Amino acid sequence: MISLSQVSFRFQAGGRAALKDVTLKYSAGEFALIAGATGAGKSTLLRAMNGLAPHFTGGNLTGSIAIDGRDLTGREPHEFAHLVGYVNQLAEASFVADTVREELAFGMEQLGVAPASMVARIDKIAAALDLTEVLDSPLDELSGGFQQRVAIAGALAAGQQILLLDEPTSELDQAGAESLLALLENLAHRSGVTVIMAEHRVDRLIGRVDSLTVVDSSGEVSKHSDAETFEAAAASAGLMPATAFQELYIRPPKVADSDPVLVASGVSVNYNGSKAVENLNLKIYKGTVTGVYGPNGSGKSSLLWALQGETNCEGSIEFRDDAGTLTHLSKNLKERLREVAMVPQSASDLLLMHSVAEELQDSDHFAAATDGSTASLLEKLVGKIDYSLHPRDLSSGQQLALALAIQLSKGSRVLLLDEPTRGLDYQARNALAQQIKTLAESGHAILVASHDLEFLLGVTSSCIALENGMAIKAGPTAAVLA
Amino acid sequence: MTPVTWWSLGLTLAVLASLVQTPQPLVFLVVLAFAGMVSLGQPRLRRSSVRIYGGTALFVLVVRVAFRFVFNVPATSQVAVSLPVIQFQIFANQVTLLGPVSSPNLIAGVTDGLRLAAIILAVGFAASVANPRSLIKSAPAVLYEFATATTIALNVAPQLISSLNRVRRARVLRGGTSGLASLRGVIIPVLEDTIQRSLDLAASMDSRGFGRRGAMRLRVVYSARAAAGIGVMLFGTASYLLLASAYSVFIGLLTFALGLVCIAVSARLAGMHRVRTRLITAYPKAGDWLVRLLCLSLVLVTAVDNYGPARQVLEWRP
Amino acid sequence: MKLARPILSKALVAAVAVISLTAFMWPLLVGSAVPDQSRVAQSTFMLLMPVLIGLMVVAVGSRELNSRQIAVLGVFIALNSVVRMLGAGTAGIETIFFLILIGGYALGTSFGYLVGAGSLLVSALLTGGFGPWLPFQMMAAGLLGFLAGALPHPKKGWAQLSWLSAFSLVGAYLYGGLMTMWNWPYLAGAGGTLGYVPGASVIENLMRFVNFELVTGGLLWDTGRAITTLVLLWLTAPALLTTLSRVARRAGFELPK
Repeated sequence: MISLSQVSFRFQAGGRAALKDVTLKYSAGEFALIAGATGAGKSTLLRAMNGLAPHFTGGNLTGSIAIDGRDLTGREPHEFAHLVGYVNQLAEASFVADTVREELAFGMEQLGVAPASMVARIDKIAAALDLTEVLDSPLDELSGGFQQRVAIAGALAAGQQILLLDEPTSELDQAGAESLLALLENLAHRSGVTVIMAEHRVDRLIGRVDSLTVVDSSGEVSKHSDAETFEAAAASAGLMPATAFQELYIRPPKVADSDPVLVASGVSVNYNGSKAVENLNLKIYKGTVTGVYGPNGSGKSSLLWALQGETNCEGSIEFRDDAGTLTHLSKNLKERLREVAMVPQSASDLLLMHSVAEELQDSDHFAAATDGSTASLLEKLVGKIDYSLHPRDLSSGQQLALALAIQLSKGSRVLLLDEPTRGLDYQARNALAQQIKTLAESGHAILVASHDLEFLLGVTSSCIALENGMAIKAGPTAAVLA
Repeated sequence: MTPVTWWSLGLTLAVLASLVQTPQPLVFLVVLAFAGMVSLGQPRLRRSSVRIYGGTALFVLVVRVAFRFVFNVPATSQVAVSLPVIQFQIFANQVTLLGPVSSPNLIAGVTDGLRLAAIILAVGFAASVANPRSLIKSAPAVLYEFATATTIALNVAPQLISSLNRVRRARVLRGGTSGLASLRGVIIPVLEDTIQRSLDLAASMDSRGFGRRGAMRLRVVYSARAAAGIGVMLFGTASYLLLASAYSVFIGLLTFALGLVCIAVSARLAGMHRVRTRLITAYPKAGDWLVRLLCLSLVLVTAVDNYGPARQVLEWRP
Repeated sequence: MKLARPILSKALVAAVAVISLTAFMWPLLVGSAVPDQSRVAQSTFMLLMPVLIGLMVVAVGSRELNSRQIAVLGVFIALNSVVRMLGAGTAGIETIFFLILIGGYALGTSFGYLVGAGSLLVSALLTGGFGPWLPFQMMAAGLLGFLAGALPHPKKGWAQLSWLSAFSLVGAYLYGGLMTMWNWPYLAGAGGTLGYVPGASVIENLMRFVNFELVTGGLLWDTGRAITTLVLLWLTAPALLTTLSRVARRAGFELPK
């Protein structure tokens, strides 16, 4: 179906080769996975297959690419468009229209399909992807999962036989990822579409795909079609989670430390007229790591924002200060931040300056700490990094560490982390788990909200499970998340 | 009825309002437009439409009449309302306020106010029945790129609002202030995200085939350009004719109408690239064409009737 | 942006601009004392303006935009519309202009026009203020964006900021003047002490217009707009201009030399 021959790609002449002499084939109906660490060339490989590389990304491409026997080397993306569909990581960012129907029509309009056939094809692809009921809904009212399906439908509406997906499961929780994989398997095995997806978290995907293509940082690419060899190939490329994750398990606190440092009682949060969190009770203890588990939309973020002291919540949140008395959270922002600090879902939102050095300086200044204290915190977390870099040029793991260091420098006792593992590859995730363990041992109380079951199992000692804003289970992690 | 038809109706009401010369038809048009807006408009928008358009129309009417009273030229005959004259000096300017208001002046003020109110309500009627956003989808092919950018903007804006909120909240987490001074710290990260997002969007558009350029027949291209050029020249001439004292209004209107025709022809020709198609969810039916024809005839008849050669408002002055 | 057939396009832009200015300033130019003439002129220009905007959009080269440029334009307009809503409601605090000026200055005259017209259109669609005044606002804002792109571009950052600041002052009053000139016949009518006098000389009508501005406090509003735009410009221009020149290169806009 699609074959690459001796394809090499460089972003800059004389620079590192993102792809080196790649020769491989994907056949019709194949469900393929392209894996590689973040920053390796897997997105580039994907983009080479529909012309975005080099025409959109810049750089230099050599070698040849053929689809269905036809040589399409060097052609512009719009010349691939009737054969190959491409879906971005964030579906919402690729929408051009108001309603689902118009979005599905967009590709066909560009390709000059006759209006009558457009209507027929829209109905067909909507039926195939279970979108018929929402055809006339505005796109912004759909959930993330639906939006992703609309993006996939839009990419395939004109009858394209190849589908490329860039990191489709990174924003999804367990259930969402599961339904997406089922959908893609269906498209490949029943409808004969060649589905090729690029991912860096491969452990839950390896068992479902027909072939695994590994891209390493030197640009070498190897394709494996024998399912037995997948795990070994992925492990040797460093893409499988370390089996030693269980070692990071923290032992539960001793009874002597039984005074909670943060007590939330009857917390309810209203959001747009409905209750995001309902009547929740929670106790966090010093030196422990507590988990909040729940799928996307179950109210975890709202809970964390409420605990941080955002005002519109009912119920009471009390904090035990140095003297040991329980008081309500301070209204004064600076004091409150010394009691409870939080790292939000997109950690990069906290980063505002033009360089890491400026961020560190500002953080020291705010915390009235000695110069370099935030820097040493950062170093403990992630090692040495170049301080002259723009914060947005850091990797997600580094950005998270920087945000963490900035919030830690405030000296708060309680640390809230909202979905910290999002976008992190295995190494960064392990590093984060280590950091959390160290912080707990030095006396902080940490609350981690996540839908990453495995991470919570490895890092937290007790956990509550949220569903639709209500706590349905609470207790030791092993019991709650079993 | 298609959005274009509804807007033709609204536009016709507005044009009629601007053509008629006496206040009575204007009252009728105002009531008609308001009734149409309230009864036929989308229920969700009804309250806001009434508030915005009704409020503005009322405001304009009141201000217009008030101006007539306050900044009045004191009348000696046909006095409708007698008010004391107020005179004073500002910077060597003699300022006269109030004073007896003559009926013709009063009626003129009310008429003009009603006229603008009718135009505003006519647009409000069209906007509440057929959302202007749907009009953008029916934009002529020659404006496709601009229409696409507009649609993207309409859909990205709400996402940006949540981005801005998220970043503002994050600033509070970090200990910054929220307020005008923090605007810079918020806008710049959001702008960076915005730009990144726009590039992802463009990649998705290209991947779906955007950017194909078909070759157009040279004859068509030249005709389109010629028609546009003629149209612009006609508009320029029409502007001159309408403003110069020596020519009748009708000539100016005629030239303007011809210019419109030329531009329409040019747009049509320029859109004949045959590279893209458009999904049409609602084809104009016989009823649509009938209504549009009716609108056109109404406008033509009123124009000719009020300003046509048979009843020249202004005669050629040698 | 590089325009195909540059001479024809420039001529078209100039012609449309002149006709648009006539459409704004017709009270100064109307030659006859007969009220019907003024009224018909006023209404005709109201119909003409949307057509002129369409012509101008094409004349500045919208048809040559590639997907990247359209996407940048779209999200930029979205950002500007959101910024406008942040400042809405307070008299004279009009936040919509500084981004138009910065966008036009950094990315060229065509982009400036499209951002100006597009921002007014989209923000009107989002807030529901869609009325007969809108085409005039769009054209005026578009012309401002266009002119911002035509300003000199010295190398030094502070020099660039000075040019932008000077233009933002001039532009704020220009925009206000044009829009008030459009409002004038509707509010004050013909005759009276503050109305326009059809058939009188340009100077005489201009004096009356200035009086009208003074009395209705239009100048206060314009000053508010000028100050807001200036402040926002100073706060954001240095950083935004650098970001945008990076964008320009990636998206393929041709930077003004």
